[in-house]
Amino acid sequence: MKQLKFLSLVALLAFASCKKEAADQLAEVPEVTAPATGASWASSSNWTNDNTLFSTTLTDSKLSSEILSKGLVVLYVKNGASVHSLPATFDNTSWYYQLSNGTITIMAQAKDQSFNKDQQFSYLIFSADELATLESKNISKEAVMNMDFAQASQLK
Amino acid sequence: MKNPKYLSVLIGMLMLFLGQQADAQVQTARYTSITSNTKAFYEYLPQGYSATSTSKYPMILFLHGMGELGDGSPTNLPKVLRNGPPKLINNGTFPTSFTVNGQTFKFIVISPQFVDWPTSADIDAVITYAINNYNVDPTRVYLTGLSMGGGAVWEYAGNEQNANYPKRLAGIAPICGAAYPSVYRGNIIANNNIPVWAFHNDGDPTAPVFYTNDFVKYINSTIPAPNPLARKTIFAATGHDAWTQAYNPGYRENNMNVYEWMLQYKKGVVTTPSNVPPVANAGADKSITLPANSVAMTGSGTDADGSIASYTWSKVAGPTQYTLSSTTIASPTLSNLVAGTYTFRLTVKDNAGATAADDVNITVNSATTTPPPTGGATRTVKVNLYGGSNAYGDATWNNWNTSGSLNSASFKYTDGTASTISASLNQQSGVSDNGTTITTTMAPKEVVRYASYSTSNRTLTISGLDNSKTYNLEFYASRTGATNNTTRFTIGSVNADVKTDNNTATTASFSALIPVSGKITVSISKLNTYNYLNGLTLTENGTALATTAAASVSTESMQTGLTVYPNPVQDRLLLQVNNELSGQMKVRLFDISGVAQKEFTVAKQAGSSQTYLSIGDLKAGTYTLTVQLGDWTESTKISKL
Repeated sequence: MKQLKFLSLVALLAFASCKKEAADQLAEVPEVTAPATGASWASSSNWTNDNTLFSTTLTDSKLSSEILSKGLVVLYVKNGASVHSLPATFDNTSWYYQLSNGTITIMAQAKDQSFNKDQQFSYLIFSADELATLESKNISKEAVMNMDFAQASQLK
Repeated sequence: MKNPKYLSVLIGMLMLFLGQQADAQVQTARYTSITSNTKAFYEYLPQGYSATSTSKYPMILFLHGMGELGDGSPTNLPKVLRNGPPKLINNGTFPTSFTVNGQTFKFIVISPQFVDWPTSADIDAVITYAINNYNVDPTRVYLTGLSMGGGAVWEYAGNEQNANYPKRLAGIAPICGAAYPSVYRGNIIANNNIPVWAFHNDGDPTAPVFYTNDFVKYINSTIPAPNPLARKTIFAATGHDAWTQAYNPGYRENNMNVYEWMLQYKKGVVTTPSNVPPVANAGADKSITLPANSVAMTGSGTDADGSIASYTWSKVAGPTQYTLSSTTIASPTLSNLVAGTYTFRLTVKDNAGATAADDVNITVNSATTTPPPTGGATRTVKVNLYGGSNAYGDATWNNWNTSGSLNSASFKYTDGTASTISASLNQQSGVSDNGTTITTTMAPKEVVRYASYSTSNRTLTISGLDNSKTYNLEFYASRTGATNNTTRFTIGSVNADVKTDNNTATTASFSALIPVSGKITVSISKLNTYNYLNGLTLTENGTALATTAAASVSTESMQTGLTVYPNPVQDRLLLQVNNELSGQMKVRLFDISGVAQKEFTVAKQAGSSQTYLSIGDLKAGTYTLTVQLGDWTESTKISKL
């Protein structure tokens, strides 16, 4: 039994050690502020339409009044391998979007009812502080609005 | 069976213990003798710290007070936990990270126990040890201490024997430091530009407050002055303990606690203490048409970390003639304008002296007759106000006896056909008679003869209008005698002033007005003692707004906070609207000829909103952007590149 106790304790300690190591690895790169949001791509199943104006709404508590008054949110749509920054017009569809407290509503003015709803979205939220930091690096808010997904993601 | 049960309990307790350790802040006693004067220390490593990582961390080296001296034994070392950062860590109240200037930091905290008063060599040895044994960012070594430790901080930072010591520090925070102030040490600290934030209680009975006062004075009076200047906080307290408040992460000055203050500075980089600059908003661009010659400016300033200390308006471009009611308030009135495009700049300064500016364009169009729009006939309603039995006997005019009723009957058009249009005044002091001999060019003398007057600011509401049409309005205001009175007519944010004394020719005109709920509301205000209204002409432009007409002046301006960014714009446009309206919001862009070139529909919710639109396919030029939601409409001009 003594041997069993000893082995259990060793196993426990080994487990604890592994757990701490894993935790350390997960918490690596500690100097970087966590991305505000939008690391992944999301699709929507709640499209509605008024004739050829299609819209869908995503919810995100990070879309605070502070962001709405002083921040910036850049939105991207992915269809297959193509990623477009919005708002934009392509494939006969005019895309635009609106932010309200806790929601982002994406609108697509399509040419007809054959609008393809199989789209994925990602967005990046920039707080006023982040914009000020970028501004100090000569990256204007307007420049961020016109960046592609890869460029804007590097700012986060 | 007993042993396995015992083992299960043991395993459970161990797992519980380990689980707690994973979340709690871990401060580890290290019984390592760094010098003969320090046998042990506490080590605090940030969450996620890995010795094998290349990540570097800022370090706080904390020096305790005399009461915590000890031999570093397991019995004595815990004395170090009584005060300062080690106490906070031990209590789990030391923040795990700090965000400064958008960058997040986590500290390594080393808290050695000294056997005796530490020398600068002792402190230097601990710094060297920490840099050699931990992932310390050598450009971010911060030294702090209390009482004896605070004195040791002054001595190390101002060390006169080893010039390298001060150069290792990114900042110091001595608290009620027990070191006699020295001009020489102060000069050394200043010459090395070591950021200093010193604390003391003004009634400290142990280490007198002049220690800190004089050290800071000596540092800041060094020539050249250090950058940054040393700062001090003297608490109005009588005890020796200034450290509890100084180290409290919740104690902030200029929105920073002592830890965040430290992190502003990095060795070798002279960093100006951060101040979030203010944001200026000169308001939306405006357009008026003469003879309307004044507008209300709607400037504002915000400061995220303080307050706006001053506003300054200045003209950047445009005609030389103008009058600003004040150049130092947020929203002055701009008057005496002539045709042309003015650019005015609002500069705001925050309480820390940072400034920001924003420009607004004011376009003053020449007085031109609005051409009849296509798609419908132009019709006119003429109204004569009077107060007794002398109505104007001209069939093209409507007579409104305002002494009889402040609410008119429905008016007829000049062609004699009935309209749904009527008017009401909310107030009138009386009706003046200018006499029969008055000669005028702006309107028939019978119309100019009688003036409804008031000593109060009042409102004229014109009702029964068609929301799908635009209207022009011309007002007549005149009073015989030289009594120095000016009447101001305001529709939305546009003003038109008429000096009424013996006025025979000047009218107040507004064009391309869009009714709100079938109404146009006109504020009639006095700039002196009285305001007057003798008559008006309303021209109905028979064109539906949604198809061809663009409004150059918005009506019924609410507190919308409509802003457009950027302007000029190439493609992507951000519209910011802040009001409590909700519903279908229409955003339209009209070209210079009034043709709607783009339209967007957005379901707006109450409160702040941002709308992102693309107009990259429009030709370059000037456009009027009109936002409409229910009864609310607001317009602004944008320049498409």
